[in-house]
Amino acid sequence: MSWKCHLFYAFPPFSIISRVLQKIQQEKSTGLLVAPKWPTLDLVARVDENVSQQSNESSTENQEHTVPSQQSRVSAPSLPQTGTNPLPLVGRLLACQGLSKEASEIIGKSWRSGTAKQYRTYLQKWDLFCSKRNIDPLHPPIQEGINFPAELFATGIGYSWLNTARSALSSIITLPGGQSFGHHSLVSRFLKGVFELRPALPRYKEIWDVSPVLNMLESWKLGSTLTLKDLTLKVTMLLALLSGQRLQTLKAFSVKSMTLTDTKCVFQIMFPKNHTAWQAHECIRIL
Amino acid sequence: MSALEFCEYTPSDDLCIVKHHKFYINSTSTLRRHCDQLLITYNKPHRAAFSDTIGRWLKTVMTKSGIDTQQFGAHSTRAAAASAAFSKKASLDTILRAAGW
Repeated sequence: MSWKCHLFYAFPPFSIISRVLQKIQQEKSTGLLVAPKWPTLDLVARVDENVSQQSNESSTENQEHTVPSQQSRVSAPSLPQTGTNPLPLVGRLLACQGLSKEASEIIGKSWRSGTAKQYRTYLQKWDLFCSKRNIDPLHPPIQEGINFPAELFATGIGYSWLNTARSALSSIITLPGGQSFGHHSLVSRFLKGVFELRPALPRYKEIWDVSPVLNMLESWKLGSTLTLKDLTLKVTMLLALLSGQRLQTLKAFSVKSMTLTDTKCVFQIMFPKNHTAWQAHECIRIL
Repeated sequence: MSALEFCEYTPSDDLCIVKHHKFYINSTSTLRRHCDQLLITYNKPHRAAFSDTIGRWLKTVMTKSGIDTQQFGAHSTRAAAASAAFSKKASLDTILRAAGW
């Protein structure tokens, strides 16, 4: 009987877990499998390898329970998890290279959370791509590394995203001779071709004029008649226009780090910025 | 750690960020309790505003001034500010530095 058409629930006797896993992997079926958390045992360790990401979070929840059982959503093809590296494939690569869990975790931090999030999508797709073709995702032949973005290209994504995919693959693939994947001549040629076919253009051809906004804000007279809502909107817009900063910076403004004098208002920003080349500032003179 | 400096605007109090800051701080001082973030929500419970909320505020103002917010998002304030500064003959260097590019 095939399990593929079902989203199954299974609590098999522990002695047959390995056979159950084998069947799941062969059929690429999806379901809920209850298994003991027993990492030293090889068969059970394979459950860990097969669980998808959501279930890893649930397994940490489970650690709070006294029963050492693990409830995991098992899905094939497998998305292995090693440690808590934000990029599972990187974690696996580092483990292969013999790094300790601690070391791997620190290296994992070298990708900011936003970057890791962007890379994760492509690394998961890459893992899937490789498992379909029986390729080792960490040591692929270079042509497969180009067939993969070509497949992504066919789904309609543009230059910028494909470049992200290239960077994502660069984080796990080092070609023989120590050359990084992204710098391989075929890969750069491919990306240049993509740029010609789907150029990355600026988002806006023209931008709106600030004067109607400022005129309107000026008509919202400062005083007790200005509601808290309008005051908030006005302050926010003035901050945005005068600083030209990102929303995350506006959010990082704090009353504690603010110095207010009669003629000036200075904010110290402690926020680790996306783009760190950022020193002295003065508001832009748009008035 | 870096500093961002806003200067007063003497021609019009109604566009002076420093005066507005003072007014805003006074108006919100009783509402903010333990919240250090400058921008707090204007409805109860007054808490630190999320980036999405701040973005929505900016878009509200843009809509009210007749800007097509279907086309332009909150982040376009960054581009609009830079373009405005450029048309006021601010040097490229100043703009790049101010906006953190």
